[in-house]
Amino acid sequence: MSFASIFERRGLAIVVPLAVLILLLAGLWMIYENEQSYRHEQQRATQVQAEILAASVTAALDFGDRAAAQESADALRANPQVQVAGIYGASGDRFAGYARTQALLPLHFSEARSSNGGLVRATAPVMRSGAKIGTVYLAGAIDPLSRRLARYAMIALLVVMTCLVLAVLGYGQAALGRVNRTLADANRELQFQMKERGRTEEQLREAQKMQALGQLTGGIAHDFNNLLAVIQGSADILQRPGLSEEKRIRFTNAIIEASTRGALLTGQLLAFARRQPLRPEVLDLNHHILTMLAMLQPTLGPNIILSTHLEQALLPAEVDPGQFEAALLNIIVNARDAMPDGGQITIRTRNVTDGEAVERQHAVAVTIEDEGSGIEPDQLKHVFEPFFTTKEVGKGTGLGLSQVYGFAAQSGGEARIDSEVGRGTTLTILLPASDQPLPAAQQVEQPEVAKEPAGHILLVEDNEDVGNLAETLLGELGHIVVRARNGPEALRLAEGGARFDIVFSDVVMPGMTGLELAEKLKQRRPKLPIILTTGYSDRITAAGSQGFPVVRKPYRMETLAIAVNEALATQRRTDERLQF
Amino acid sequence: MARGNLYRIFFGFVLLFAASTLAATAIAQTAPLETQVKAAFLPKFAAYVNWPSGTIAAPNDPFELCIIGRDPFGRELDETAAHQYVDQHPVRVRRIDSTADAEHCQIAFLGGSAKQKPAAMQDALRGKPILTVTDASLGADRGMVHFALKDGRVRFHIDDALAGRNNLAISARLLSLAISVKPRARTS
Repeated sequence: MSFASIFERRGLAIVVPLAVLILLLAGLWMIYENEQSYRHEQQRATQVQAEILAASVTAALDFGDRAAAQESADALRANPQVQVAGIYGASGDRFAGYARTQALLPLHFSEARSSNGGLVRATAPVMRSGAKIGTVYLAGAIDPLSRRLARYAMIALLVVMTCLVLAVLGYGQAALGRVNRTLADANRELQFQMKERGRTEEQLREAQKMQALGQLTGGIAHDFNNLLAVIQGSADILQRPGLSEEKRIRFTNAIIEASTRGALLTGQLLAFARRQPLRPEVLDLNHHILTMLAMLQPTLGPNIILSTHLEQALLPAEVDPGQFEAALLNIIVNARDAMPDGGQITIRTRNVTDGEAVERQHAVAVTIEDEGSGIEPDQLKHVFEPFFTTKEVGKGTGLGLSQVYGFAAQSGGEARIDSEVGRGTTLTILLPASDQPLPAAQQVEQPEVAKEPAGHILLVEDNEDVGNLAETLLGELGHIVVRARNGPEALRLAEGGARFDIVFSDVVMPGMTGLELAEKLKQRRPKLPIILTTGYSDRITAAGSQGFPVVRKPYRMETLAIAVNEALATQRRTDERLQF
Repeated sequence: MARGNLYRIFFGFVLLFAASTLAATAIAQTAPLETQVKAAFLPKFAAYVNWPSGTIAAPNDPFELCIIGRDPFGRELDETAAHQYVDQHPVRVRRIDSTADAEHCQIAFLGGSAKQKPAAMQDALRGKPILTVTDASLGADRGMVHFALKDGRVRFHIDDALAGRNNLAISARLLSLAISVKPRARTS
């Protein structure tokens, strides 16, 4: 409670009675003033009457004509106000006069002065040529108190009314003040509770975040453990001597497959973190689906039957192929998990014109149906939310369908889900159809390993294992590799006159980043091709790769071969051009 | 004025005296009492009459009250007039024999003489600013103010027409006390 409000309240408590008091005093003063002026007026009127009478009886008194004097006095009888009119000679003896009440008319003038009663008295000398020859005495009645009070009743009534109004106002104001205080208290309480609630919600959010994080890490660990189990097991088998060629190929493929899925998983995580920009290409989705299914079928197990109903003249769509594959994989994995005893998964594609179309464009719909357990209606509206999962802790990340939703939305389309418990689930991805024609031929050819003459490559990588792998891969591709463990070392090598045609550098390194290294090298040798590689980089996402080609980790041998060969070819072309 | 006859003059001390004395002595002494009243009245008229301005030349000149011819008042008048003033002029009583000496008189009591009757005196003073007073007990000739007894009291008639001719203005307050008033002719 502020000082001002206290003052206001105290002030009000004082002001109202004070105002009432002042009003009452003012009213009384007005009545008093009125009374005074009335008396004064009466006094003046009586005095004037007395003077008139004195003037008119001069001769009568002078010549001792009582009758004439009496007549003059009687003329005043017409005025009911005049109670006593006396004319006295020079000696003070009564000469003529009248009184409405006889007793009131004194015989001698000296008695007239002393006689009292509620009368207004006035005397006037009777003058003849400057000499006083007698006195006139008049006594006028004052209105009775009741009549005077009646005259002041209006003032009194007004004052009382105003006081009443003031009192009511004051009371109302006080009541309002009380209500206001109650309200203020309630408001404070409410604000306190809101703050408490905010704090609780913050705690809840924190707890939810931790829960989600736990779920996520658990899910990732589970998935990665599965993949690592496959890789480890396969590698163990491959180490056994006397392995048949058929087995060697099968287990090698299993390792490649598991690694691919691991890469997809990290890709998903990055996509979820919104750190991976989409790289849309115009795709024939049918072709991609068939390729994927061929690869997926063995991993799904014998109980799951994959079938397709693909539209023949499917419109092309411009989407990120990696993300599309990830979305498809996520849906199929979910479908499989929904059918622990096996069943059929049907994949359909069709062109969508009008009606269903996204923003009235032509669209392509990819539908995946399963015969699984279905999803409860109250859970259905949450399935696209990140970290929402119906699987046990450690069995799912809750990111799968979130990725599907994010991918569809980012591609300008949408994802829909329909489900019936016990009957199965249908998931539809609507993607806008592209006006662009398909690229002439999809590159499916095998990379021509070391087709070009071998080049000298400066490999910059701080991670020993990845460095060894890269060195092996590049060596397999027929290149000569010089290794540096960090940026400054690479710079020293470059300045030391080591010969190399290409720099292949990691981005995230302690001390100097790959980007900084690339900038410095570019200043020394502007035409030197530099290839960057990273699993994840804030800097690349934020600022871009500044024109340097980027190979994403984990990379396959083919990817590496293509990037290195392209760089070598470009350098040779510019060299040739320079030679001309 | 017609209401002059409505008024009566009350003569208080006369009644008091009459009630307390014998009838014989009363007859012998009523004359001086009546005369006393008249003597008292004479200088009082001055207060109710306006003379033309410049009638009394100097500020210190006396106001002259003249008795022309017979004098019924004697010492009585001298006593009543002794300390009286009219507009700061002391009242002086002058006794003369004929109107010939009445040049400076303001009030003239026309007592009449063997040579000049009051009426003749009146005629002689015609046009002069002199208030003429006559007495019914001395004859029927009338001046501007004419003493008369009514109901045993001393009162007077007023001839305002005559006063008007002599350029005198008589106050209405005095006129209202008269037994009768002969109104002045309206001048247009």
